[in-house]
Parts: sequence; structure tokens; C-alpha cells
Amino acid sequence: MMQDIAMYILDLANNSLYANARNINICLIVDRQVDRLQLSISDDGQGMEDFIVEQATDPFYTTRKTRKIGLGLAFFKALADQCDGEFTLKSKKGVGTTVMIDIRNSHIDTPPIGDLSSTLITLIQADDLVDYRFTYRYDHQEFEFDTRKIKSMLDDVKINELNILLWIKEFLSERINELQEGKR
Amino acid sequence: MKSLAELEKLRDITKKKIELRDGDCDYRIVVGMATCGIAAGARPVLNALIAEATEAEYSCTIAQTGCIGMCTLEPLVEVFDKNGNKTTYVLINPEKAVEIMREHIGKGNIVEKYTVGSVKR
Repeated sequence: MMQDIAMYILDLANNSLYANARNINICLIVDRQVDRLQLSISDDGQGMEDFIVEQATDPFYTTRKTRKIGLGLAFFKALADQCDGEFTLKSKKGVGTTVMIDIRNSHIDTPPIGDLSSTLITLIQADDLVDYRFTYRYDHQEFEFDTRKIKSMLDDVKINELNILLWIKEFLSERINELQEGKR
Repeated sequence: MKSLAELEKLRDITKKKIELRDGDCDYRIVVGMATCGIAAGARPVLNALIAEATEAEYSCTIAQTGCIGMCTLEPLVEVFDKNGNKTTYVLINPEKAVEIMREHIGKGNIVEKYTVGSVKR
């Protein structure tokens, strides 16, 4: 299992990258009043046939060639099972995939949120042609980050130039901390 | 607070830096970023490499890959030189990553103690 929510996001969005997605939407909602944590990752990658969707959360099913074990989705489903939650995987060949969980925020096994800004710049660094929209709602405040907006300001400088990435990391950390501390 | 106006300034500085770069980089660094790598701590390793590379402006590119195949030795970092020679570093953490950056990428000395060959069977 992963140590925090940000690590799950990184792992699952990497699945989207392997499925050749060009647009990945990450949505994280924490609502302490209703005591739920929802996370969804949806992409416009190649999608999966129905029979693959059925096997995808089986740890002994994987499409990779290096090993006969694939734990990414299995971990994510286990997290939902463990934390009074639900796991949903929807996919359509040629259209894309959405994976989501809805778990009890105060459950003892619900991991901390973790370092979201590190996860996001790790994803952005991997491929500058992929766009991300990250929406984070914490109680009733919301923060949205869209790589398209950043790219529109960069002219021909790539978004994954290292000093641009570091700037984005600090920008995100500031905004995310502010949101979690309820200052917005 | 970081403002978007700052980003425009940084863009112009970066543009100038890109113009000054001469040809290919000396090294290519690859970090394994599959489920096994992520669970073992590959993300902070990649972030440390990015921070150190930016700070010291080493001649290298940084890339990510999937499962390299030795999941128990993650986080894995591979360094390729210009001639295609590969050094595989295993069980890396952010501190070791910075050390590799300074010694191997900065000075050209392989850090033997962290290589896959140094692991006792």
C-alpha cells in the first residue's frame, strides 16, 4: 500500500500516461463535515476492453512485461475496501478511463494527503505534451490548477524545464497549504 | 506568494539560458517511477535530482521510466553517459541522489558504493 494519497495519484496518473493520455483530470475532494474523501483520475487514453476492466484490480493481472504482478489498481481498490469506501473503475476502449474512490475521511486507515505538489511536478516532468487539470476542494474552498494556463504564458519554453518545474512546485505548495489551512 | 507575473520573468531568464546551452548534455539520468518505485520513495528522489540539477546547472537531462525489473532494489536511478555506458544505482534516497549528482554528474566519478554491483547477494 502507498503511504499517502499523493502517492496513489502519482501511481494512477502514470497508468494514464502509459495509456497514451493527452489530458488527465485529477480531482480531490475532502469534506470534513460529511466525513468523505473522494479522489478521481480520468484520462483520454486508449481505454480498456470490458474483459480487461474486470481483471484490472486483480494483482496477478498486468499489462507490463517486466513482472507478472500489477499492484497499482489493486492497492487503490484495497484502500477503498479498507476505509468504508467505494471503488469505481470505468473505461471505454478508444475513449478513456476514470478511476475513483470515495472513502471515509476520518477512518483510521485513511492515509494523509501527502505531498501533492511533488506528485504534480513529477507528472508534469514526465511528458510536457500531456496536460493536467488538478482540482482540489477542501471543505468548501477550491483550488484549480491547469497546465494549459501555465503553458500559455511560457511561449516556446517547455513546462518541464527544471527551473519552471521548481517554480510550479513552490506555487502549488503555497496554494495547497493555504487551502488546507482554510485561509482562502 | 508566487505570482504569475513572476513566471513571465522566469520564462525570459530560461529562454536566455536555453540559447546558451551547447549541444547534447553529458549525462542522461533515468528514475524508475512504477508502483514499486513510487512505494519505495522514487518521487522524493526525482524531486531532489531536479532541485540539485537546477541549483548547480549540471549538463544532464532527467527522465522517468516504468518498472526497471528489480523492484526490491527500488528506488532505482540509471545514469547514461554520452557513449551509452550505463551505471545503475539502487536503494537510493534523496541524500544519496544529491551525492550521485555532485560526484558522478558534476565530477565524472561513479559512486561505487551505491551501484547495483555493490549489493550483497
